[in-house]
Amino acid sequence: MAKHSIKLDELTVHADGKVILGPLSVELTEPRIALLGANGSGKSTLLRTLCTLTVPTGGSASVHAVDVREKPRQIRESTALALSDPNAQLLLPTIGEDLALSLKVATRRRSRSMQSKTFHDPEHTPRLQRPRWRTRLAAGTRTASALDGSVGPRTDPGPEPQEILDALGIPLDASRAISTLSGGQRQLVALASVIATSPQLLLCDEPTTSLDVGWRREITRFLMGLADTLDRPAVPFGPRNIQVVVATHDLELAAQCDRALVLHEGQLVCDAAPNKAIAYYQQLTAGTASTLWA
Amino acid sequence: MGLVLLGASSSSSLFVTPSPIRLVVVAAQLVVLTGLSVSTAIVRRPVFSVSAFVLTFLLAAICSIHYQKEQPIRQILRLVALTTPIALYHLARGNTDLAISSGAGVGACICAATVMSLTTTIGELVALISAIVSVCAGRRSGNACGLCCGLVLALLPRLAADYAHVRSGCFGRGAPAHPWNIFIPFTIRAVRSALETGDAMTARGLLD
Repeated sequence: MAKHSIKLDELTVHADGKVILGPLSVELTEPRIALLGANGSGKSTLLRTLCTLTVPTGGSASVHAVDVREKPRQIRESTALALSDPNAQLLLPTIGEDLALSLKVATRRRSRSMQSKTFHDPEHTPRLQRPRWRTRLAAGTRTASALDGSVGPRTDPGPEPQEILDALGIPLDASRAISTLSGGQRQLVALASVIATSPQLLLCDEPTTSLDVGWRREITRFLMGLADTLDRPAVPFGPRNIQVVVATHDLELAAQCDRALVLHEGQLVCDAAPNKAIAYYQQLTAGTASTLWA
Repeated sequence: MGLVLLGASSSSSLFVTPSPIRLVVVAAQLVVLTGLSVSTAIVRRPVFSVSAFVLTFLLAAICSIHYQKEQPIRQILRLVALTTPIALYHLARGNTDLAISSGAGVGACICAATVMSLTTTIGELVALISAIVSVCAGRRSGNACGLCCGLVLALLPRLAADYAHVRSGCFGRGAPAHPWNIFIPFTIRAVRSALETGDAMTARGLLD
């Protein structure tokens, strides 16, 4: 199996009795993939399907050989979705607090996979063997510390929020309030907050929408850099070789990807290198301009 | 019990210093939490829905104080002073128990909530609630409750921005500033915001 692999096999999604996506059959192994298409063409639906927010009604979709319908939780552990509106993504008032929330998710996932499930996770423990209240208190305190971002779990301290920002090359102070950030800065922090959950696949839904040219380029540079080999010893678990799938109308961003797909009315109409796909998309848009109001 | 007491302070903060904007904000909070609860019920996390409703009261209190950038001591004094007429009103009607609860009890709760909000960051508060609930109801419930707090606190500024947008839109079209002209679109936006936030949380793995 390739390191990066998304496989769609006759994937179909219906809504209100209509097919809004598919049938799609494609295998995506490149590290950077752009999804192009007009509004309502199915780009966001495809991203939502890949991160299990939308359940496919036909066919199958798998991420790293795991079917999205069979093991949605496992999929979510390796996948992250960044929405176009960073305000929907950022939950807590400061950058550090919000990143700490994601780090807590990453820590929980890591401990779930590395440690025995019988002691630390009450959900997997028979009731008679569940830890007593003192143990629960300790677990709660560790959770609180991780959530707060001040102290990591006792057994294996994870990275601090500021370390994540530094590792990702975001020159912001973790103590800064999110309300004081500009739109572009918010988008970067929102991306950092999903990357801090240590995904292998990052899905971005129009990340450069409503940003000026400077910030578009900055976000593009940031996203394209994620797929490169980032081996940073300062971050024990963190972003490394993330596959990035971007749904976008930003042709500059799409041009820097390794592969581009063009969707039209839910169908895959072009699957090619970015330059060819962009040319096709522009031709398609010019052709449909007269029917926009039909 | 602490939650109940602080819950009382939230309703009292409305009751003590009534203002249309605060009513709208708290009403919207309830609407948003309903949306959140529905959305989270869809992803089968009922404990999240229940705790959302419970924590509304606590958060209404803290937020009403936290987002007002007044001088804290003056605000505490004002809030406490405003509870006195209510207590006297109940006392005059012969309801001693109501007078005590709404006067002394409510005042104390407001003070407690104020002190907490002044000495604790929101992140710490979320972590604290998470830890306390974890002891009583397990780590999963603790996380859910902590998240609820964070969410509602995060949603308040969004709601304020939504309200400003809807109001500007309303005036921009020359529509009369009737409460319904603002409240209905504002409610719709608030629910949409809540659903978006629910999606973001699910995708981020916070509900797993």
